[in-house]
Amino acid sequence: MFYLDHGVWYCRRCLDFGRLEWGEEDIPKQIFKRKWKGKPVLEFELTPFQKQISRQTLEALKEGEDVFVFAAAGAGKTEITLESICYYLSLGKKVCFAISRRQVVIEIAKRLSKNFPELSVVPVCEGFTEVTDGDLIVCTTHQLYRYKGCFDLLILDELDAFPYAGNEVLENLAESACRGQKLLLSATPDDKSMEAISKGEMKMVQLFRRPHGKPLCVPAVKACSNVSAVFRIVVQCRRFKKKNKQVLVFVPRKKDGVWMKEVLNFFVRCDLIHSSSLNKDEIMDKFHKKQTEVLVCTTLLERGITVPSVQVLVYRADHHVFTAASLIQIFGRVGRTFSDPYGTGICYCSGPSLEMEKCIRQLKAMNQSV
Amino acid sequence: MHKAAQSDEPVCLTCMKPLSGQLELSQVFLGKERVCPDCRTQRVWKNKTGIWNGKKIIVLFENNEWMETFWKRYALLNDTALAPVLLEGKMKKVASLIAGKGIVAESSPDILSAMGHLPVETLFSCYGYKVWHPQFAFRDQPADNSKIYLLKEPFTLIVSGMEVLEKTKSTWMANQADCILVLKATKEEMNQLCKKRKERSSPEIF
Repeated sequence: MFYLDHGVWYCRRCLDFGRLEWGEEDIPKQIFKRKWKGKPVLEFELTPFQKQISRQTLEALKEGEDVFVFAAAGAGKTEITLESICYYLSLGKKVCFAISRRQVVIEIAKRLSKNFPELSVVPVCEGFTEVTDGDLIVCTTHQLYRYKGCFDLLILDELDAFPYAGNEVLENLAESACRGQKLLLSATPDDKSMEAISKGEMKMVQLFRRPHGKPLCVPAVKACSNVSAVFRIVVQCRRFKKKNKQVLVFVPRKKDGVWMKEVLNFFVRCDLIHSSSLNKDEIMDKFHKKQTEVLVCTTLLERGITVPSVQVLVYRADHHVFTAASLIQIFGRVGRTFSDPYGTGICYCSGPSLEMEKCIRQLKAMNQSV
Repeated sequence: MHKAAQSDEPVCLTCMKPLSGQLELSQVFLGKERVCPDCRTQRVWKNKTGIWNGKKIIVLFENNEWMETFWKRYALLNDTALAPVLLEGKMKKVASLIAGKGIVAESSPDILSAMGHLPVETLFSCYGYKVWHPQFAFRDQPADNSKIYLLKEPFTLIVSGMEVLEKTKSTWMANQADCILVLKATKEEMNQLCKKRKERSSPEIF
């Protein structure tokens, strides 16, 4: 997608990341590097399964291979990468953790800061762009345009998520930012990655067992009308409130969220979050502090969010925005902690869709393979 | 450009979605369409007249979400491929507004260095109009600018938005202009202008 302007061709497709003209020399960014030999601080020791996967991953990376970690939601993908991060940092190499969504960048940066208290873990995303270099960079995939040829290890989390999935520009940004190996993490690998794995272009390691060893939440499907679904959601939310459990109510569209919040507010303390919410951090903070009991959300929160004892309800689960991958991620929010490894997940719909069936089938298969 | 984009099929210059399927067959073959119908409806033509500091002012388009995105991409990111898009289909009307007058556009070295081009000038020059751009207009140094003296009075001043006009307030450009064209203004800004116009036209009561 090139356009000729005053005798110079420029690329229109990646214009959002600055005008790049034909023949223009792209100067790699000068970044800070230092050797750090240490170990991550962990709240819990890794399980033998996690250790095994972590070791396999590092061995493959040492051999110069790209690695795909196919792990269930809540299996501890982030923790699996820590050993590899330490190895690269001990050689004075640069590591980046790139994720599609801003909200998840902030969460992961917080977690990694706890894991590496001696290091400066720098989140780089919208609202966090004043400091763009540190010992360990956690950024959105959009921000990778800043780091051409900078990273010896690029960890790409949730690569099947919007907006990274299928976005040629972002994929190319990731390619050009990485000069070493790539470590890809996902609970729902896309066809392209599976093809690359089958061709032997990268190695895959699998982990479906969560650290607590309990099975993944397989959602119940409740077929009912939309009105009835709202009534049932209200009843469920009140029930969970009595048990002192928080609820995530997923809706397919922002406008559904607006009225759903209004309805639920009569019965429980409720808030709404979606991509256009201005105070996302504040809303999430309130939810984490249990100041709100129910959080109505769009697929914005389908990934990377860990809330203890959270239950998940999906309104109009047969809507086309809820793909199998999306639903697997959504129900992956349930039962992630040792203190409460079980939970409830319910799909409200007019009838089970193929995507819902696929999701349930895959979750059952993951549980069986444990 | 839409075909010079070297893609397999023509795409909308603004939203980049394929044009085929959204256009009538004749439009596809003629290949003159640059923008999809969706984007076209979001480009809201206003042509609203108002008064600003005693000067006649005409607002051409509403500054909405589409316009914000368009202007960011066109002006800030220097996507000159978009230059013909804004005035496409409206150029006859605009031409009648500026007929017989010189055109002066906002400009400054700061704009040029920040954006890599002078957005307003590029918009008009792609339709073959000569646009004067006094180089230091925003720096209140009009006296040594010779170009303006070459202009036949009166002239039309063209600015991108009301905020630019506010900056231009103290300069000679706004004072000497016969008419001011504002490319984009928000609904609130337009209401404000119309309110002032009504106030001005109402008879004074003693």
